[in-house]
Amino acid sequence: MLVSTLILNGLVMGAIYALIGVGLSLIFGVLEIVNFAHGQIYTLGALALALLVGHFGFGFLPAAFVSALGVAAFGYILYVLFLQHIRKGEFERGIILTLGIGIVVQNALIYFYGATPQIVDTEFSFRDINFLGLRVEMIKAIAVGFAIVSITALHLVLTRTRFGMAIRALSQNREAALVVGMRPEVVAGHAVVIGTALAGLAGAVLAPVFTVHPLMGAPILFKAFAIVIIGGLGHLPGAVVASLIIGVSESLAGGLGSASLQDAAVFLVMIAMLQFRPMGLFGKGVRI
Amino acid sequence: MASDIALEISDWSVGYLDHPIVRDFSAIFAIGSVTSLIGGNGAGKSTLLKSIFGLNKHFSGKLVFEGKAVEGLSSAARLRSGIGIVPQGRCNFPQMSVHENLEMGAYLLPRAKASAAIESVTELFPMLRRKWRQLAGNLSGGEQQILETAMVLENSPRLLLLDEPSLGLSPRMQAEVFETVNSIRGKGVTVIMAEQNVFGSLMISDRAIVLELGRKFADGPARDVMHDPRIKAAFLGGEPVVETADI
Ligand SMILES: Nc1ncnc2c1ncn2[C@@H]1O[C@H](COP(=O)(O)OP(=O)(O)OP(=O)(O)O)[C@@H](O)[C@H]1O
Ligand SMILES: [Mg+2]
Repeated sequence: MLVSTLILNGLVMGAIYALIGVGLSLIFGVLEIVNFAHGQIYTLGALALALLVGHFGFGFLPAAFVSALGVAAFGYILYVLFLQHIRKGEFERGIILTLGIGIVVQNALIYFYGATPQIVDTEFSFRDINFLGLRVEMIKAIAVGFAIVSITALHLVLTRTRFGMAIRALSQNREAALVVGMRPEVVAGHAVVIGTALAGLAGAVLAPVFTVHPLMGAPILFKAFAIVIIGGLGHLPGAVVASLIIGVSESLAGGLGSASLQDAAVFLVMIAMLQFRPMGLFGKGVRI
Repeated sequence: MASDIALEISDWSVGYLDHPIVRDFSAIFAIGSVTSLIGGNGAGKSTLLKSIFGLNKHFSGKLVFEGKAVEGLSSAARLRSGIGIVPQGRCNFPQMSVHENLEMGAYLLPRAKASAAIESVTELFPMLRRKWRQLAGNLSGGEQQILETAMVLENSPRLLLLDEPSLGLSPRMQAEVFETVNSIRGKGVTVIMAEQNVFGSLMISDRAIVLELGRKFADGPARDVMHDPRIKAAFLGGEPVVETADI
């Protein structure tokens, strides 16, 4: 395969990883919880889209939108029922809790959905577009479009609106947030909704690119962890850059070497990062 | 209830985790009064101030602000009802610019009021305008202290709790902070402050309350406390040496 095609495919995957990694980062920023259920949240988005398109005759775009919304609602319920009650310094409790939630969700999906991988056939599948002289699958181009638009929108919300600035503020200094009159439990809820919506959207737009099945979230989750570690926990631009690095390096490793090297490449980058820049790409203590 | 009372604290026990640090504290604060909280390190000054804003754990006791019980309110609701605090230590958003921090200071204010509030605190502290785009975390300690005070003043609190407001400031800025406190009092704002610069704060205070091991140890007019030999020995280190603006 052409190197340019490999890079392009890598960027596509990177854009999607960014949606997942950014959500993970956002949630960690406000709650200091590493959400081990994030991979299953992503799976939910993909299965919701498969269901809406396959059984309810939705078009791809409305289905992606509804899937993301539904997943965000699910994320909010998880927050109100569980995540909200984890206190500062209960880091391990957060890990065990989200790990447990992830396993429950995954098994429930296997029970209701079956474990067989399914192909999602949308109105955009099996069509190509021409991008700078390269043939790109339309469904991938759309996925990238979604990623770019939603990350840009997220950036604008976080930097231009009081609603979004409050999320950054809370993740930078909780006491100061209280002093200026924020209610941390409300602001953190907003961050969880946005973070899970992005993961749901990632699952939805990737559903037609790969096959969907209840176990698809686990490998993605570990890549998302690699991304937030490379980018610096809680650092959004870092997560975006790290996602693109991961996407491209796994694509090149897979295309030029062997498919079995893909994941190794991702985690080699992560190990190198932990060794040489343990605070992430952008250095020490930087937050969203 | 007399209408010139701003805050009434009764049988107040507050702290962290499982046991109170400040115990059985009672005091009444008149509207427009300035009170210095004095006590050694760990006496519970910060704990008491934070508890009035609801930042730590309340065990028992009543807190009545302007005639309304507020001990059950969230910090946000207390700020809305007119109580503001500038805590000890760094209390800003370090990765946001001075401007963004001031925007966050106005978090509870409607849009139009927010701009006016930002305008008025930048007039009070022109330094903020000069550092407008700088990240708060890159300001000097003293500049951050001023930013944090400004963020709270944006809310025009009627009860202002100041924890070490002059810590890390140059003598000139310290004088400016005390002057600001003094001018705020002129507007009917009630101030309770804990200060390392005991003499400087007593000079602009009507009253002083001495805390020891979380209990009230002495309470009286600032001038009496200033001249109490026991207090002088413990907190003032003999005769005052620093000259401050006379009040
Ligand atoms: N977050 C906290 N959790 C548990 N204990 C705390 C916490 N903050 C303070 N304490 C304890 O409460 C006691 C009183 O502390 P506080 O900060 O109120 O003292 P202070 O009078 O303000 O002292 P300083 O002059 O050093 O500021 C100390 O013994 C301290 O160990
Ligand atoms: Mg203190």
